[in-house]
Amino acid sequence: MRSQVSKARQPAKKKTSKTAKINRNPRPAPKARLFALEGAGESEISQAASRLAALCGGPERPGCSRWDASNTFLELRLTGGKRTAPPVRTLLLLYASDLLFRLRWEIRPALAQGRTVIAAPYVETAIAFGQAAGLPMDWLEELFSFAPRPDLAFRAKEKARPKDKQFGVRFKSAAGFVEFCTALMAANSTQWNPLAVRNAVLDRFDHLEDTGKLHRLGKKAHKALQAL
Amino acid sequence: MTAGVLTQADPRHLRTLLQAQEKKRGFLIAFEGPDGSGKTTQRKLFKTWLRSVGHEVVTFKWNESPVVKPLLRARKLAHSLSPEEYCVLSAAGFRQQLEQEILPALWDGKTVLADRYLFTAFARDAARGLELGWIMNAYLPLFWPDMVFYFEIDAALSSQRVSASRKPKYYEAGQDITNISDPIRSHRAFVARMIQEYDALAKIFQFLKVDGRQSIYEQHREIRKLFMLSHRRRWAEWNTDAVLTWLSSKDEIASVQSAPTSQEKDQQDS
Repeated sequence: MRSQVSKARQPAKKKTSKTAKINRNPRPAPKARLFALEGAGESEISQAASRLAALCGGPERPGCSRWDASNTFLELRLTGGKRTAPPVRTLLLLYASDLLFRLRWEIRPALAQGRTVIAAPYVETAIAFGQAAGLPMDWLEELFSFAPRPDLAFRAKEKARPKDKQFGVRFKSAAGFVEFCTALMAANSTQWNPLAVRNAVLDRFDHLEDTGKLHRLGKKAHKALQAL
Repeated sequence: MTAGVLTQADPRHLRTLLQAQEKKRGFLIAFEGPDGSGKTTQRKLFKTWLRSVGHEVVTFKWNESPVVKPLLRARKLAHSLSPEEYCVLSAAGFRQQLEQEILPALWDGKTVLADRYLFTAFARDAARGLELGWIMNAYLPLFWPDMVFYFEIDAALSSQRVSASRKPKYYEAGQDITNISDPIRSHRAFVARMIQEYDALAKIFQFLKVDGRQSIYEQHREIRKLFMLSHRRRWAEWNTDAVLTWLSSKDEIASVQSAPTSQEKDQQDS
């Protein structure tokens, strides 16, 4: 028994010597990090995701997990969701299912490989939309309690707040979660004011930024990233 | 109730509407039980009888939402659903069916017969290892039926009846969590877990139990008798949140009074 152990140890010793050689020129070990990027518009999130990826630096470009990777909302668009807009809770539950899909197939596998992942958008965008639509915060928080906490959460720089009361989002061109849902609901109900919904979402982001839970992309973000 | 930026209906107005509708509204009757327990057969017989005595009857089927059904079908085929995804997709579909099929029918005084209802989701998802609190949250605000007929059979009989006509499908057999390659054996193990969950729910939610081993005729007679003796669960007591949420989302019911937007709030403040 002992001899077997000693034989088994011999190649391990050789490996250690090789590792020692490598360690003379140390490379930073890959560290798995999850960044959330929240925003009310798809174009804003896309631009911010590229910027955040550049800020992350490192030898490997971070992976990006985008909204509707599961094609849930595409299916809704194709099957004529416009004609029968589902309730807001249904939209939030569909977002949760899409996020579960992204976590299972994109985010967790990448983190397991030690990669950095940008989830754009992540939980707070959905919560902000749900809150704007009047859903209770405890319901929203419990629904998304499955999602792991990001290492840092950022806010996509949005265009100036729309002031025009005629502000609207076209259903066909709506590309992000908030835009898509707002357009879908506004097309079916006179109770939905796209301008008010967008502003309420931005209000929530302002609040999170004030409380230090969301960071704007900039010098401070760069420092925060380096501190990790 | 909603309290966001949407146009808000006056809650007092909605409560008055709800009370006025209490006597005119229809019944919601759920048929629950393991696979092969005879729910569908009894639901069909009961529907025929209800119609014969003058009820206008609508059937609700589980996971038949036009939005969610194609998604579930595709992912079931690909065996790519996790228990959590299955749960939230079912809840998404249920909410849509509740607000667009069940509640409008009940409001119009129709009787709705549900071939499986919330309790199927609770039992099935809990049997898949999810926490009951989280599952129930996904279905909030809950909408309770007036009656729940629960068809009691054991796991062996359920499996025997199902496998007599077909092979249980992957998710129906719970193969995603049992790790048993034989669908019939997996189905039996999964149904046994589901029955445990059903039994716990039956105590909490006062199911009306029907012995699923009886003949079809005996079961039908028992259901009729139970129905005659039963009474409605008052919406104001049990289902206020769900009904008011639905009512407030209806354009024709919601009042025109709107909550101020952040921009309007700023103008008011200045």
